[in-house]
Order: sequence, then C-alpha cells, then structure tokens
Amino acid sequence: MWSWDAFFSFLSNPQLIQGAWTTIWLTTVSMALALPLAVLVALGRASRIAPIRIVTGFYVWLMRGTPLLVQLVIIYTGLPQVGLRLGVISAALTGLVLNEAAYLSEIVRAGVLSVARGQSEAARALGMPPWKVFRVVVMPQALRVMVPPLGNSFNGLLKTTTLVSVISVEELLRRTQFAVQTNFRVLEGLTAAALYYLAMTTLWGLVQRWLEVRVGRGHQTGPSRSRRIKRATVPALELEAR
Amino acid sequence: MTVEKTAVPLVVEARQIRKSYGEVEVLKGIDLTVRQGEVVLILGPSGGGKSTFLRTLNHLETPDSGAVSICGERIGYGDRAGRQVPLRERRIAVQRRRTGMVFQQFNLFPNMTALDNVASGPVHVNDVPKAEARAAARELLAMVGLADKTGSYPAQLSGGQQQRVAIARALAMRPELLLFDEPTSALDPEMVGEVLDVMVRLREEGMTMIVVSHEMGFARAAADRVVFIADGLVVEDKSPDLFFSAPEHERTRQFLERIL
Ligand SMILES: Nc1ncnc2c1ncn2[C@@H]1O[C@H](COP(=O)(O)OP(=O)(O)OP(=O)(O)O)[C@@H](O)[C@H]1O
Ligand SMILES: [Mg+2]
Repeated sequence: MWSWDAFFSFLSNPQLIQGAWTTIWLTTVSMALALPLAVLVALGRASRIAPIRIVTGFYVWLMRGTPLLVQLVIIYTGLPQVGLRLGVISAALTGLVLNEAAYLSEIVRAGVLSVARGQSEAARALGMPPWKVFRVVVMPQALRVMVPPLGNSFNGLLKTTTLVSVISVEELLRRTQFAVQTNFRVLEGLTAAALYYLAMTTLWGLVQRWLEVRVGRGHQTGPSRSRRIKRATVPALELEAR
Repeated sequence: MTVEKTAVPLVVEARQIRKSYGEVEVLKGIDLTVRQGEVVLILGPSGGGKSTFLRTLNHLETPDSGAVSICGERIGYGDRAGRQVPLRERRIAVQRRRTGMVFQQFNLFPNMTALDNVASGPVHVNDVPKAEARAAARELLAMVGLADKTGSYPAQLSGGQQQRVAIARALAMRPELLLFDEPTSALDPEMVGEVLDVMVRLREEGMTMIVVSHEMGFARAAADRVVFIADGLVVEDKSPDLFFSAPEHERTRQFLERIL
C-alpha cells in the first residue's frame, strides 16, 4: 500500500534535504575542478611534445575504459593498502574529478577544433598575441559548441554522484536509504529521492538554456528582415566553416 | 621622375622568399619591393603560390629562407648579439600590427557585432579603452558606408557588407600596409563593386596595398603595378598598361588568353 503520509514526510525529511545539498555540492565542486583539468588535458593531447601527448592520452584511455565504481573503490579502499589514505569526501572528489575530466577533455578538444582556422588567423593578423587569440577569439566560439555537451555532463554527474554512496558518502541516495530503514517505506522514500533528482536536473536545464543563449550571441536566427540577406551569404559562411 | 620615385620610402622588401610543403616547393625565390602609397596587384594561376607569398609578408606563413622587411624591420627575426634569431610568436604579433589583412572568407568574429569586430584590434591588441575604440570604429564603419550596421552581427550582413567591415577592422589598427587575398572572390557579382569602391578610396588616401585578385577592372583602374606569379616565381612585374598590352613571357600570354 502506498502511503501519502510517508511520502510527504520523506519529502520534507531534513535528512533528504541535507543529502540533496551534498549531491549539489559534490557535483558543482567536481565539475569546477574537472573543467580546468580537462582544458589542460585537451591542450596536452594536442601538444607538440610527444611524452605529454602519450601521458595525457593514456590517462583519458584509462579513465574512460574502466568503471567509475571500480575507480572509487580502488581510491578509497585500495590505496590505503599502499599507504595512501584519503578521507571519504576527498576520495569521492578525487574519483569524480579524475573520471569526469577525462570525458570533459574530449568535449573541450572538439570545441576548440570546431572553431574555423580563419578565425585564429584573422586574430593573429590583427597582431593579437597567442593567449589573446585563444581567450578573445577561439575560446568564446568553442564555448558555444561546448555548452550543450558540458550541460549534459553536469546533468549526468548529478546522477552519477549516487555511486559515491558505496564508499559511504552521505549524499541523497545514502541518506534516503538510512531514512527508509526507520519505517521500511522503500517505495515512498525512493520516489521522494527521485523527485529531488528530477527537481535538480530540471533546475539545471533552465540554467543550461540561459547559458546557451549567453554564449550563442551572433548565432541566433535574426529578425525576418535579415532573412533574405542571410540566405545570400550562406554559401560563403559554409565555406568558412570548413 | 625616377629620382622622385626612389625618394619614396620602401614599405615592403621581400628577398628570395622560398617555401616548401613537404616535397613540393611552392615559392621558389620571390622578390618584391613595394613603396609607400603603391597599389600592387598580384595575378596568377591557381596554386601558383599567391596566397602563400602574401601570408609570408605578415608571417602567418614562415618562409624556409629569404627575408621579409616591413618598413625596414625584418619580420620574424630579431637581432641577438649580431645574429638573426627567430622571434617568438608573441614578438611577431607586435610586428604584425603594421600590416592589415583582408581575407577571401572575411573571417569576421561571429560572436561580435560589426562595431566590436572593428574595435577588436585596438581593444585587445593596443589596450585602447573600449569607449574610445568604439568611437573610432563608428567612424571607420561610416567611412565604408555601414554607419547603420554597427549593431549587426556578421550573420546578419551580406557578403559585401561583411567584407567592408573586415576592411574597417584592418584599418582600425592604422596599418602601414594592407594585404588583400582575393577580397571579392566569395562575393555575389552585384556586391563586388561596393568592396572595390572602398579599396579605390583607400588608394586615393595613399594607403599602400598588395591585392591578390582577378578583377581586371580594378587592375586597370587602381593598380600601379601588376605582378604575375606562376609556379612559385615572379614571372612579370610591370605597369598595368604594359602588362596587358605587352606581356613579355609566353606563360603570361597563355594566362591572359584564358581569363580575358
Ligand atoms: N598548408 C599547406 N599545406 C600543404 N600544401 C599547401 C598548404 N598551403 C598551400 N599549399 C599548396 O601550395 C600551393 C600554392 O598554394 P596557394 O594557396 O599559395 O596558391 P594560390 O596561388 O593562392 O592559388 P589560388 O588562386 O587557388 O588561391 C598549392 O599547390 C597548395 O596546394
Ligand atoms: Mg589563394
């Protein structure tokens, strides 16, 4: 029997609210740390220096080729065997960041490669030094391409954090499981948790839309007045994109 | 007349420029000098090395050998203890400020308005305050006939309008020299004129220009010299009148027969 009372009491349970905060916190911090690491890895994979290319390539291959769950257990439970003991949160963050950065580096790489070569040439011809070419011209355009997949990664990470419950991080899923043990209302408890996840991913979806509009400046379809002109320039723009 | 001419300072001095891609030698020792205020038109068959040569002038392409000087300064190399050593990209960027470049595909920054495209050089290269750079950019856009398009993004502009913004963007750096690589080839025929008009006006104002183009009308009306490049060498370098009426080489005659 489904009990609405139990369901609503789970929804307002401070344990679950606390867990949801931990989930949001873990996701945000992991993402914030993984992104700069991903940019470094992406640069490393495009490096002129072979050993850097090999090491970063190996890292991405390893992280993407093994399950996060295995990585987490190795970091938290396995490493102490060789004298490296990490706290619960540190272990969880280490695993999430290392794993996520490997995936994000592919997004960063694709984003930078998507910017037409003519763009950086025009910037260089103006006299911009290399870092300005990257920051002023390449990065903003790469971001436009990167925001949708980065947003999806954030959404995915919100749910992937459930995995760190196995190394006893008290995020939303683990807190829910604790709460359920008081009355064994599994269905109501986990439905409430699922609703929390839905709320978080939905909210994130709104943030992502806003970000996409922000980085998409100059690319929106213009007012109908300019349609006619735009069609005339399409062949030229397509050429440029190649 | 000749005495007067040599008194005009040299803007471009390219000596024996060579460049290979793998096994293929694309530039086989090109010489070119351009004086202040001159408009030089470069012509030649596809694949002859025109773009590659033009790009060595601002070091977007590094020559394998030979030397490029712009206003007497050797591009890409600096003097260290009496020896010529290659400069870092950061230093070459400084040298490039004297040279503006206009591309076949415009290469405007799609995420910036026309105004910010034009202001981008002064703001990001010379650290000019944004308001000041925008005021100057507004004047340049008016000069190329786009006073009403300052807020438009490139995707909202026609090809001819985009190319005029690109010219204004290059001018914003107050270059000593403008390089054009087929500035009208990507344009619909009815838009070619508006871009060439701007270039003719620049010539009247004394801008030094090197233009790779197959616009014969422009060659006759606005070029001081026509340089014919084929197979990585300068085959012919003379006034437009002489070039079209009395080409010296068989290679030039064949080319002219095909395009005229
Ligand atoms: N980055 C590159 N790598 C390899 N080959 C190149 C490269 N750039 C140019 N080439 C080759 O060099 C030769 C000269 O090219 P270039 O673009 O300078 O010719 P062009 O005279 O400008 O021709 P077009 O009239 O078609 O623009 C061509 O055979 C071209 O394929
Ligand atoms: Mg070319």
